[in-house]
Amino acid sequence: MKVEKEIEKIKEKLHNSIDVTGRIVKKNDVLVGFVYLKSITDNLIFSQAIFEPVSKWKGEFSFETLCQIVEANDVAEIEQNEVIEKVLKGSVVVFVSNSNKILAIDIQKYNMRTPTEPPTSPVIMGPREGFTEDMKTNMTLLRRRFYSSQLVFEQTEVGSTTKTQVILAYLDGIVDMKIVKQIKKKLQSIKIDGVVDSYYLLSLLSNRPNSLFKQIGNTEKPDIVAAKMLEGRVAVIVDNSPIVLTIPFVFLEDLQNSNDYYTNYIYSGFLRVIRLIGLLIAIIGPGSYIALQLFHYNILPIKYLITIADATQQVPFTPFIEILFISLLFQILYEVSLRLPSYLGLATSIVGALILGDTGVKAGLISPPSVIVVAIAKIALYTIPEQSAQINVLQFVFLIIGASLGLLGLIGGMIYFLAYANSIENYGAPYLAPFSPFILGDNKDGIIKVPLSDMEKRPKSFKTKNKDRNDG
Amino acid sequence: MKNYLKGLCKTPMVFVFIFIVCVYGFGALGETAEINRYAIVSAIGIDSVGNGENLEVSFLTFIPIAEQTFTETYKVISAQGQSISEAMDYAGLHIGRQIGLSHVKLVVFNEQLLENDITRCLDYLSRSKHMSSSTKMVVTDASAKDFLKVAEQLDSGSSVKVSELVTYNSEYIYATDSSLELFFKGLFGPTRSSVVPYLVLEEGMDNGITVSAGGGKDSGSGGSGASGGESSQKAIINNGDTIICKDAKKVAKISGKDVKNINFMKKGFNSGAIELENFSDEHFDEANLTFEIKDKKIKNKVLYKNGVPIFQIDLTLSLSLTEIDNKESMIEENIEFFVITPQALQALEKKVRQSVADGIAIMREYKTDILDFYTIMHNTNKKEFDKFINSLEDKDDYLNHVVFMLSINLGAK
Amino acid sequence: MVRDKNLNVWQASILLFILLFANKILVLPSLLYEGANVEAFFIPVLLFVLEMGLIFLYYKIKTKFPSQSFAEILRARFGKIIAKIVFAFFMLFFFSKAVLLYNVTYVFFKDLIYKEADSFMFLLCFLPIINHLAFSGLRVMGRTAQLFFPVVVIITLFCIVVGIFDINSNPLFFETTASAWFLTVIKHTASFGDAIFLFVFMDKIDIKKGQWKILFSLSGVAMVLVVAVIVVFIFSYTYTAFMHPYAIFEIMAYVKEYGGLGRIDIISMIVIVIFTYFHLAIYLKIFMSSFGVLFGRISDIYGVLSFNFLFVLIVWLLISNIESAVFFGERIATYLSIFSFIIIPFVNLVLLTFKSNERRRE
Repeated sequence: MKVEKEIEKIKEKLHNSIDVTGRIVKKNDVLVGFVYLKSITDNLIFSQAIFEPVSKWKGEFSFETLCQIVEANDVAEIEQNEVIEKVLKGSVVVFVSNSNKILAIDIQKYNMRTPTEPPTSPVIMGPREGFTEDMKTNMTLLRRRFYSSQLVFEQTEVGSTTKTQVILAYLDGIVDMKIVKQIKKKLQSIKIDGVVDSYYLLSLLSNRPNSLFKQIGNTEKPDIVAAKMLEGRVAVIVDNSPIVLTIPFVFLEDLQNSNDYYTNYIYSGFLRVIRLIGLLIAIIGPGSYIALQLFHYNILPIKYLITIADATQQVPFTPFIEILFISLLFQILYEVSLRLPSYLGLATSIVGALILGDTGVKAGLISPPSVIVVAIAKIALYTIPEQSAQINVLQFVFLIIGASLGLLGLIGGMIYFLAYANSIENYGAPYLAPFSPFILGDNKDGIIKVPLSDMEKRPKSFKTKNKDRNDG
Repeated sequence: MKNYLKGLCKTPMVFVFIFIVCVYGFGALGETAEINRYAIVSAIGIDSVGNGENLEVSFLTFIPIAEQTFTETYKVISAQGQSISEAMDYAGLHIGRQIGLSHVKLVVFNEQLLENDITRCLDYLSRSKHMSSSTKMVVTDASAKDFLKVAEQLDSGSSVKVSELVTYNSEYIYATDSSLELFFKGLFGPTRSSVVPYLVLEEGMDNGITVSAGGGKDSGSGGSGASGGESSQKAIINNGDTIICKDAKKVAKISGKDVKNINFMKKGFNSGAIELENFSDEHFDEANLTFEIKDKKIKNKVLYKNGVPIFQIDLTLSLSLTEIDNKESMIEENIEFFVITPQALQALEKKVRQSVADGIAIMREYKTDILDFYTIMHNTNKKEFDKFINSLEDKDDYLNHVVFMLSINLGAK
Repeated sequence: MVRDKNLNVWQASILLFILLFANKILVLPSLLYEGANVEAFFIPVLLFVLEMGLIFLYYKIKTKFPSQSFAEILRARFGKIIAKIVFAFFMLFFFSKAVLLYNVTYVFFKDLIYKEADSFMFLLCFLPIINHLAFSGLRVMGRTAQLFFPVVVIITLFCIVVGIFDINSNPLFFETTASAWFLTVIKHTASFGDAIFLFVFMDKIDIKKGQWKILFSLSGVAMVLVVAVIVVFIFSYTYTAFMHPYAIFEIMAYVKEYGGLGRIDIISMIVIVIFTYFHLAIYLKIFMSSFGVLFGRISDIYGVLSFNFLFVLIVWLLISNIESAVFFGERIATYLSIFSFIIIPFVNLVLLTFKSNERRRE
């Protein structure tokens, strides 16, 4: 084998990218060539465990000696056509001139952040680990929770250009294998150039990709994934994404929060009721306020009526425009505060508080009740942070419905959206289970929560192989 | 994009939504709040003008004022018309808004109106779907408009509401049920009689609720009630007086004391006090004692003897002594374990018996069965009762032919 | 063709509950009182006994022909024409009830909280939603109803309890003559008889052997609640019922204000709105199915379109006021109630005498 030629070939195939490194060592008459990408390999291991043993070797050099002296773990003999892929995935490929065999040594290394508490789902009491962008770390985090032969990882690739690795994790003997098969089939049928984050798969995996409603679960916390896998769900880990998807998904999952499981069960039931109320306020709060103002002043009690009438008297806008204006202001402030560097955050909050809360009201441009209604509704969006995007859209829809059709329209809209949600079924799980269809057993972890010792069965909202939690 | 549009077509609700936005949503952008299109009325006053042919209707209206203190500012608007709806139309014209009746809590009638049949005024109120039937009804001696003007000062200037005054009246002091609903119930019921509380508007008195109000000089339709000029003290006084109506017409005005007597026989009304004057026994010497009724139970029973109904009232009262006005101070007497002596009980029973007898006498005098004994007698034995009623010359005068028997059980609590 | 997935027993019972309950709590109590005074509360009791009989007939037929649809059974026993006639009656019966219900609800809302709204807006509120519900299929409708059901029942119970505490009258008993009473019964039979909807969706309801008690008890609860509402209404508004046409709302309205919460009568409106939506949706669904039976398996779109067209047309003609709705209900719908209380029971009793030739599909 002509080592120089091989190295040149690889470099050419990788378009002479500057991180492609090739080295050649001459041992007696034998040439040994190394090719690797220095951007994703561990240079220390390369020099100490691979390069040094080879260069210090004295005697006859052959492919067999190479295999013996290399002090790395992940060593494999590969075919010619695998070379490029191995190099791209962080291996050192070694050619020896007196042999046609090729050796690949995996020394992939890149700097990754360590598992930290994810900002999206902090807990008061409970594990503070979160998934990272590194798939291996994520697998470790999961494996550490199941020292059991039941945990299975299966790998596939998605994306014609990115070739992103996607791993299905499930508990054999608990999960319904039909669901796993369905997910695999769906993953294979995906035609896309690249998957940059697991959010890409979120819509690609759902049955109704055009729908507003989120149909796949997502979380950043390994303890949540582990709990969901124990319920018989499948986890989908995507390389380079700290967000792990769980399938099948029902709406109830977002109403639950990991905090619920690390605190008193009665209190967590109470919190869920609060979340539901928050959800309701977030969706129909501004809409019903505007409906009351435009259509049904007569069902407001006189005390509120007087307050609203006094407060809105000086406002130059009509009520609908006023509410839209405040909502828009809030949305802009929200958008800005996300993007701005943190040292400017204070400035935005001052501007927001002053403009919205004080000056606007004092100048008579907006009325205090409207500010209160919009502010409460916008804050209530985050009682269920996983769904806040959808709820925000719904809030605007209901605002418009409330302004155009009043109370009847609001209730009609609610019926429509609930009926729509009811028609969604992903991987055999009705979206609003266990409320509709009502499944008594699953309601043990529904709005009210029973103590953990009473949750003996796995959810019936979707199919699982083994319903009994205490069995095996 | 094509697929996306195809997907959209599968949810036709998107088009419905767009349609709604186009048809109503844009319209809503320019729509002012209903609060600014309606005059919110909290009380209505009705007077008769001329020879009683026209009505003057006054509205106590809430006027929104742009300020941060959220005070309630009221104005009185009045207008005349042949009917209430006509007057309402004019009033709406005067203020430039529609009259919204959904928050009316009080309807005030001039006493003169009740001399004639007031169903004419009530018809509109009964048909209005917006007015709650729990709206209170009050009769006043002065014009209803003046009454509302005093109420305007009261409602705007303090937290006391005239409507609340009447609510208190009906719940705690005299139990004069005074809502529109109960008025109609009495009117359309078998007795055709109902009661309305009577509030007096007096000048220069200070034992009622007093506010300084404009002299009530500005008159004529449409004068919204901001009045200047000299101000005099006017007071709304609630003596507990009540007007008894039969067929929606005033029959008599009875005093608060009479109402109290009648209320002894009324179920469900458990408060009140009984006073014993110049009472002497082993503890007291010519003392005035006041007992509070803590609990009251009434059982009615009707028997028929020779075709005459005998109406038995079993009255059980639990009393407690609340005040002693003795000649010699008795404050050191053990208050906690005070026992009502047999003499006191006897005197109390006599007193209660007298009160009940007075109450019945009033009802008999005006032939108005405001406690609806009719239904009780009818429901116990329909046949006998029909026979009894048919045997009477004046069928309204049945109370005079019914024999009442009263047994009283008194106990201390 | 919309493929309907089957309902389970709970969903079927809830739909039946809605049909039995919802159209009787708004204007009916006042009308009954007008005709039969205090004794009016006995009218629904009598009619509900008959309605229970209908449900029992359904039970008998369903156990005899477990997996056939009513149309198939009729076709096999009486021929195509009779089947079509019966389903034409179904269509007519439920369509006229839909119009009646819509009219009553329209007038109610127009009177109380939509002073300035136009009638087109009401149609826009109702028609798209009920079309969506009907098109999503029975199961989705059943599931959504299941979601609203507890809310609505709790509110209704709350209304009744509040009403009971507020009863403040002492009615005269035994003032109604028997003839007046029976006349009222006949006038208002049209408001009853909805239970025959079960026959339309006979094959679409999965009821296992032990589950019949759910259907019976839930419909029993609906009947008890209706009677309770009527009793509370009659006893709270003796003599003045004519002033209060909207029973469930008025029960609450008298209570009026609960401290800072304000007027709680609005929650009774929510009940009425939710019920009306589902009620109309079920009627539309029945219309669609019957349309399918009548005109063969042509697209459901035509059924829905004709329902919407006729609905809008008749509503435009009738919409003006409650009097025309009541007139419509008392005259036209009463004749149609012959269908629910005489024809359907008769047909089913005849069917029961036949032998079942149902092939057991196991």
